[in-house]
Amino acid sequence: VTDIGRLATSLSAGHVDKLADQISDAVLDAVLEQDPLGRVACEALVANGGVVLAGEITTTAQVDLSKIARHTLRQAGYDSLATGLDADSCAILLAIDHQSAEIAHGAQQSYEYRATASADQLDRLGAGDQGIVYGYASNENRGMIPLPVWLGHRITETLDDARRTDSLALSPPFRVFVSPCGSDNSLHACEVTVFGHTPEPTTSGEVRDKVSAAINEIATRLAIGIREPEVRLDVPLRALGHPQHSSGATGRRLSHDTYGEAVCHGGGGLSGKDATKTDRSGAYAARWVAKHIVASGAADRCRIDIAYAASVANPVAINTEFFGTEHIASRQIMSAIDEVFDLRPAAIISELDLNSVAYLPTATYGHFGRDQLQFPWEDCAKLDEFQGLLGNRDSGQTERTAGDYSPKQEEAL
Amino acid sequence: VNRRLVTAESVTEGHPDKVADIIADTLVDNHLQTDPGHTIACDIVVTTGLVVVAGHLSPALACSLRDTVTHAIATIGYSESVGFSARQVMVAHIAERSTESTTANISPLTARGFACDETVSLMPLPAVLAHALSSQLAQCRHNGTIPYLRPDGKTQVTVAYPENEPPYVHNVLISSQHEPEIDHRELQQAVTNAVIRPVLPPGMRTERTLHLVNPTPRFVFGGPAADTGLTGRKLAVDSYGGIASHGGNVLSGRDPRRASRLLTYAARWMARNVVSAGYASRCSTLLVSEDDHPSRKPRVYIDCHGTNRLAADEILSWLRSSFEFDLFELAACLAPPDLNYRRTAAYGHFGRPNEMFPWETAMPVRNQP
Repeated sequence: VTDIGRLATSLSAGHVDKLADQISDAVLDAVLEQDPLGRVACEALVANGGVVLAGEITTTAQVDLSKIARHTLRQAGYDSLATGLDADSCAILLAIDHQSAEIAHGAQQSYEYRATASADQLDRLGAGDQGIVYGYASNENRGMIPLPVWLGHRITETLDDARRTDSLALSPPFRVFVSPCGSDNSLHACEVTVFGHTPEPTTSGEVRDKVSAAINEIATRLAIGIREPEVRLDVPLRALGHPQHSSGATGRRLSHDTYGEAVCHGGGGLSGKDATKTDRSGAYAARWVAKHIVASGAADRCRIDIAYAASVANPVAINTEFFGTEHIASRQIMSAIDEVFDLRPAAIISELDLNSVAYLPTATYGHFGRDQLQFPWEDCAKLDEFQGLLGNRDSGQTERTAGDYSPKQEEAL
Repeated sequence: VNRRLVTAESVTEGHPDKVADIIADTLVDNHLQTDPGHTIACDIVVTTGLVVVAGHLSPALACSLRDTVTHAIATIGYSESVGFSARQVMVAHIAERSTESTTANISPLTARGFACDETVSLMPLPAVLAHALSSQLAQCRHNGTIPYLRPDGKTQVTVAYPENEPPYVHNVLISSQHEPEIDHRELQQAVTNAVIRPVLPPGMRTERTLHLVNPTPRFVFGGPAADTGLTGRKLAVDSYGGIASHGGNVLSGRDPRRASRLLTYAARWMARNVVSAGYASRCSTLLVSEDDHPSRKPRVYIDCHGTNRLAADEILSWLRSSFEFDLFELAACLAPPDLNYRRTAAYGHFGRPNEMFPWETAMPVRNQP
């Protein structure tokens, strides 16, 4: 392993933490469908025998939470006692509350609005909470995310589809482990290992062959060189994240959901949160910006970090990292970012139209690099504008932070 | 001036996710004292009036669960507040299967660690400052310096690193839950004077440093009643503030002798020793164990981000030859049953100068490179 960040694990939809993420996002989707302005922070705990749903939801929508949870479990493969969890007869405990009026108020009337009576509507919505979000993109593949992460998710997705259509006798929880084995960092060679469990051990040879064939086909299609995959179907369910053996929770698989462990993440969970939470909308915006930077050719690899403060609309800090791959002066890129992208929560929500996204598909196989799904944060809609600015500007650092908007310092030193 | 901005956040022990972590690690402590022959893994949800504990608990632990939970909540400081209080809470236990099993976990386990020479505790500066602010904020509440504070709180620090100049604080943010009848201005003054001033060295604050104290107009309603908390949801706060990868293993609520928590501590331990030996300024480590059998020796990988003063191969062979431990030996070094794991559950598992965590010590060096 030449670059220790680049090992990747991809989890199937039947993994207990992923079940929790899917239930949270299914609840979010159900609320937004009826009430696009609904406020949702839905957390799920999946345990032996059922699900605990907790969190804060403020909405006019009428949703049947337990029905949503059961449907999600069934879709993920837990549809009978034989699977270890029967979606129709398991327990669903509900402990849902309203969003605190104070948090809602703080978000609705931002610091900028209160401090300067800013007339800008986009200044009105403050960040729901503090936190740091990271966005990343690299030009190493079509998905623009680290190759092992991308390959792992594409394999898991294909195997899960085959399992759902009953063409593959695999238990719902399995994982795909991808480690780069190329001698250089271009890494167009990977080692793939599948850890799974087959409910019918007598046919495991056949299942193994099907899995290997599917993986080889994906690798060929994506033009990624891989060694002969290793397929282990004798892994006990307890080692795979099966709900009968371990409990799982929403927001526990953040590296898995984003860019793998080579890239930082700020620690804020994504699934189950509506777009007024910058943990989610900020992370999407950061990805959107990073993707523009790479797509424009300004840099081959890019990470952007954005820090928010509760109730403040403008980010308190923005930082970029190009890992030495930039082709244009970094301050020039920074100034183009500042010109083109408005990173206030209200602006992000409207630019990316985050109130009308279906979020459930993000809860499995990654939020980024999903070129089939046309998520708005993957669409470089402002590429022309961004590229135009890169060509002809070299102004000084003009990053905009909340400090520039406050009338004076909170406290003299 | 070209500058890098690095941000880290921290939360106080009253933050809902931390309440869950603290209850979980209190259970770990009690478990290690009463039933050390078995292992424990538990997950906690805390929300309005409710604590859900999912996990296999020994009979002794299950019988005393309510007392353990309410005591943990009371020590954090939720004794009177509305919505979540040790005086009125439903404690639900979802009994899981015993985690004992003779079959080894055969899917590989990975863990990551980090250290840098930016501070004496070998942690990134923004993370150290954010934790120091959170911890000072809680202290001001516990010792009555600011009597109207309530337990929930968050801090965030952005440090600017200008080229060829010493770093300074670009912005600092503190939000603390408080009693209803207080003057917002007075709270801001008190927190600035009693929390920010003593913690941030004067040289690090400039007149351009943005101070945000309770930017929300009102933060009376907080804690688990306002936001649902879960164990293992503050891993960045638990580790390196998001500045370095933490590997994703949940720590609180897991038996410290289990491979996922143990290897995470071991990874920090090794990174720390590479930096404290002076071989590199920054060091990330990756440990990979094929399974969780006690005789398994994890493989070690490092990345010094170009700061090494010795060839990476030499550092690696020094690490490997000096610290070739299997999981059983690592547990003996890093997971003593009498350590207070509840103390790890808030303000970070790493770089805690006032705690005697074994993974923050020098390793017994066997070989020189």
